[in-house]
Amino acid sequence: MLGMLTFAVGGVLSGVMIAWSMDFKTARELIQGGLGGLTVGVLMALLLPM
Amino acid sequence: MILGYVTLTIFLAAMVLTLLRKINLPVQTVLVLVTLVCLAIGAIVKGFTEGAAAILTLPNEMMGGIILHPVTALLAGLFLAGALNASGGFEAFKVLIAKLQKSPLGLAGTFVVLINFPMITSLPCGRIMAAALLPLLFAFGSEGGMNLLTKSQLIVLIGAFARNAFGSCGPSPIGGVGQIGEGFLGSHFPTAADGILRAPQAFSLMIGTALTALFLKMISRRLYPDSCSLRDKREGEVDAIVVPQAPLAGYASLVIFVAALIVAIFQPFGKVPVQTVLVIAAIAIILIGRAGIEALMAGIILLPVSAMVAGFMAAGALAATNGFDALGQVLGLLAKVPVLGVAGMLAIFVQIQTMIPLSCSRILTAALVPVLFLFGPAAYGFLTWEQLAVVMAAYIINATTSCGPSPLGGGGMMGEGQMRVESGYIKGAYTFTVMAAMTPLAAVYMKFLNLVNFAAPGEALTANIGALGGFVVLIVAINLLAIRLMARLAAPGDKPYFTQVGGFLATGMFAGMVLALSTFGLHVIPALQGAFGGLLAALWIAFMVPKKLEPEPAPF
Amino acid sequence: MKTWAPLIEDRLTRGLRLAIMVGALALLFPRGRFYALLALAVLLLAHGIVHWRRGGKRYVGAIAAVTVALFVALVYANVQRHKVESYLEHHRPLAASLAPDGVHRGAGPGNNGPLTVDVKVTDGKIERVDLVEHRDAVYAFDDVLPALRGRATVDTQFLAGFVFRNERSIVGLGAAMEDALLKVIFDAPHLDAASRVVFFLTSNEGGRITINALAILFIVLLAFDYTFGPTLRPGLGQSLNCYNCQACVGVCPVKQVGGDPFPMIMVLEARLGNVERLAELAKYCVGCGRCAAKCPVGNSGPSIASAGYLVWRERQRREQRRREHELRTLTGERTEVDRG
Ligand code: SF4
Ligand code: SF4
Repeated sequence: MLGMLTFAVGGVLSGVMIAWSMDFKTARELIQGGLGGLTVGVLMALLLPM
Repeated sequence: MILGYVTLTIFLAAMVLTLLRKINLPVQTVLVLVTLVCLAIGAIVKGFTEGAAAILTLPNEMMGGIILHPVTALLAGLFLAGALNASGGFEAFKVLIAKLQKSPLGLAGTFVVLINFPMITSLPCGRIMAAALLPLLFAFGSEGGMNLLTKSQLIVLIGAFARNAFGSCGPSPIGGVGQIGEGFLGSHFPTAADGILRAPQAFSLMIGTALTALFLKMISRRLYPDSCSLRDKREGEVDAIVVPQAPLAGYASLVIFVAALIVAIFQPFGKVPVQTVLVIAAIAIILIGRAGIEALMAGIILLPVSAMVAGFMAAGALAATNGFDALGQVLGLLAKVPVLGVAGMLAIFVQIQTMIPLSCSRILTAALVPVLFLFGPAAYGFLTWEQLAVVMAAYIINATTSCGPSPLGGGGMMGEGQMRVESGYIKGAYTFTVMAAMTPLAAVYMKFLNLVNFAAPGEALTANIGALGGFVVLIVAINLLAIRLMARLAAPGDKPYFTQVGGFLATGMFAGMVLALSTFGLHVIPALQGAFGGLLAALWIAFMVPKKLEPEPAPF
Repeated sequence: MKTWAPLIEDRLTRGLRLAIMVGALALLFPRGRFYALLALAVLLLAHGIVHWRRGGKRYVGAIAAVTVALFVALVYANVQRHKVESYLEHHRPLAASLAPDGVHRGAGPGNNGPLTVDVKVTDGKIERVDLVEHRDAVYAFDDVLPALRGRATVDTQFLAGFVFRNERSIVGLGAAMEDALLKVIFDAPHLDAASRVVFFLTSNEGGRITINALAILFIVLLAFDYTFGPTLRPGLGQSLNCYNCQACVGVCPVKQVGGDPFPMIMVLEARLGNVERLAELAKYCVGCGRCAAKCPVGNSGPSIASAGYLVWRERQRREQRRREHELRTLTGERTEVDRG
C-alpha cells in the first residue's frame, strides 16, 4: 500500500514536470499531465512485487 | 597477486580505451580479446608457479563465470517482443495511444503516459520499444506530418522517452539487467528473485525521466542551439492526423503479452521459470498472428545478449586470474584513504557505469556486480546485507541507464537520430539526472520502503515513509535548483559549460552524501566521505559532457 | 562473386539446420529425448505443410504418421505406468513376502541420475539391499542401507525418516526397491517393453522439469541459428555486429522505408536472410556513405545493399534454371543435367 502511494505521488510529480517541460503551461494541461503521471504510477505499482 | 593486478589493468584499460575510441572495435570483441589475453597471461604465470595442472582449470573457471539464467531470460523476452511486433501488437499500442488523447488525460497526459510506456511494459531491452515507437513520436512533429508539436516539444518528448526506454531494461522481470543483482542478493533475501530491485529502479526512473525532460528543455537546447535540424511548422502547412489501425491479432497478442507478464511476475501457478512462460506466450502469439518462426528471430537484438555473455566471460577470466581480488584490494585501499572511507569509495563505485558508458550496460554489470557482492558479508564485510541491497539498488539503476549516454552505439543514439541532433546532445541531460537524482533515489527507496517487503525471516524492518518522502522531495528540489541555476547561465560557449560543470559537482556531492546517509545512517563522517566520493565521480562525468557539438563531416 | 556460399544456405535451409540441431539434442539430452523427437517431428510436419506446394506433400504423410505414433506411444506408456502406480497405491507398503525369494534388480531416479539396486529376499523378508549403480553421493545412503535389513516391507514412510540426507536420493531408493519387487510379483501389472522404451527416452520426467528445460533449449537453438545464419551468406556476415543503435538512421537522408528505420532495417534483414526484401530496400539507398561513417561497428548501407542484391540475384538465377529444367523434364526433353 505504501509503495502504491509512493508511486502515485511520485507519478503525479513527474507527470507535472514532464508536462511543464513540454511547454504545456495552462493549469488544465498541467493537471492532465499529473493525471497521466498518476496513471503511470498506479499501473507501475500494480506490476511490482510489494 | 601481481597477476591479478595485471589482468585487472588490462581489463579496465581496454574498456576506457574503447570508450575513447582509441580501440576501434565492437565492445564485445574487445572483451573477448581481453578474456583471451588474460587467460593466456594467467596460463603462463600459473604454469610457472603452480605447474601445468593449474592451467587446465583456467578455461573451466572462465566458463563458470557465464550465468545462463539472465541470458536465456533475455533471449526469451526478446522472442516475446519479436512475436508481439510481428503480430501487430505495437500497432495496437498505437491505437491505444490515439484513444488516450481523447480521454480526460488529454494531449499532455497522453504524452506523460507515452514517455513512461517503456518502463510500464518493462521489456528486457529498451531498443525494442524505442524501435517500435520512436517513428510514431517523430510523426507528432512537423516533419513527421502531424504537426501536433513544435521542435522544442519534440526534442523533449523524444529525449525523455528514450531516457525512459534505456532504463527500462533494469526493472524488467523478463531478462532485465537487475536480475543479475537480484540473483546475488538472493543468497540472503529469500524472495529477492521476485524482483527486489525492481521497485527502486522503477521509482527513480519515473522521477529521473521527468528531470531529464526538464534538463533537455532548460539546458541542452540552450547549450547546443544549432545542433538540431528539425524544423517547426511552416506557414500554410496542413496537419495530417494519421489514424492508426491494428489487426485483431494485434490486440490478442497484446492481451497475451500482458498475461505473460503477470504470470511471470506473480507466478500464480506455482514456480515456473520466466523462460518457459515467455516462450509459451511467444509461441501462442505466433500462432494467433500467423507469423513464422522468423518473427521470433527478428526480435532478437544481439547486442545485449552478446554483451552479457562477453561480460560474464571477462568476469570469469578476471576471477580465474585473481583480478577481482586485486580490485577488492584496490578498493579496500581506497576505503582506507581518510577523506574517502568506505562511503566515499562506494559513492564512486556506484557511478562507475555512468563514468564508463558502454553500448550495453550488461557488460560491466556482469563483471562488477560480483565485486559489489564481495563488499558484503560474503567476503570483505564492509557492508551488512541490508546495506548491500541499498548500494546494489543504486548501482543497478546507474548501470542500466548507462547505455543512454554511450557514444559507442548506445541506445541514446536512437533518440538522437530521431531528434535529428548531433551525437552527444543528450549526454549532459542523461548523465546529470542519473548521477544526481536517480542513483540516490533508488538508494533511499530501497532503504526506507522496499527492504521491508523483502526482509529475510527473523528480521523486522519498518517502512519509513516520512523519511522517504523527505529525501525524495529534497533530492528533487536540489536537482530543480541546480537545473534552474545552470539554465540561468546557459548559452553556448566556454563559460556556461563550466557553470554546468559546477552544477554537476554540487549535485554529485549531494548524491554521494544521500547514498552514504541511506547506507550508513545519520553519521557525519560517512556523509562527508560520501560527498567527497560523489564529487570525484561527478568531476569525471561532468568533463565527459561535450562542450560543443561539431557536425561530423560526410566522408565523401 | 563466388557462387558456392548461397548454395550452402540453399541446401542447408533454416528448417534443416533446426532439425539437425534438435536431432543432435535428442541424442545428447537425456531427460527430454522423447520430447525432442516429438518436437522434431512436429517441426518437420509444420515445414512440410508450409511447403506443401513445393513438394512438401511427399513426406507430410509419413511424418504425420510418425508424429501420431510417437504421441500414441507416449499416451500408451503413461497409461501403463498409471496402472502400475495404482497397484502400488493399493499395496503400499509393498510386502517382500509377495515376491519369491532371490535377488531382484530394480531401478529408480536418483538425485543426479538413475540408480539401480539389488534387493535380496529370503523367507519373505528383505535380507539386504545393495547399490549396483548410482551417481549420488555415497553418504546419502550409508545409514539407510543397513537399516533396511530384515524389514518385511518397502516402507516409504520409514524411508522418509532418512530424507535429511537428500530427499531425491532416498525417494529414488524406495522407487528402485519397489521396482525390483514389482517385477517379480506375479499378479502385479508390468510395464511392457514398449513403455520401457518410452520411459528410457523420457527418463520418467514428463513433468515440468523437462518442459522448462526444453523451453530453454528452444531459445538456445533459435538464437544459435540466428547467429550462425549470417555467416552462410556471402558479404552479409558483418550484419551480425549491428547494435540496433540507429546511428546510421540519424544521418541517412532516406531514414525510413515503409515505416522501418533505414538503413538499419537492411542490416537486420540481412541478418535474417531475407534477401528478397533486401534487394527491394537496396533501391532506396543513394550511396552517400554517411551511415558507414557513423556506425560504431562499421556496417555500411551500400555494401550490405550490394551484397544482398548479389545473393538475391544468384538465387533468382538458380530458381530460373530449376524451373526451366522442370519444364523440360515435363515436356520430355533431355536436359543438360540428364546428359551429365
Ligand atoms: S549510403 Fe545509403 S543507407 Fe547509408 S546514409 Fe547514404 S543513403 Fe542512407
Ligand atoms: S549504426 Fe551500425 S550498429 Fe547502429 S543500427 Fe546502424 S548498422 Fe546497426
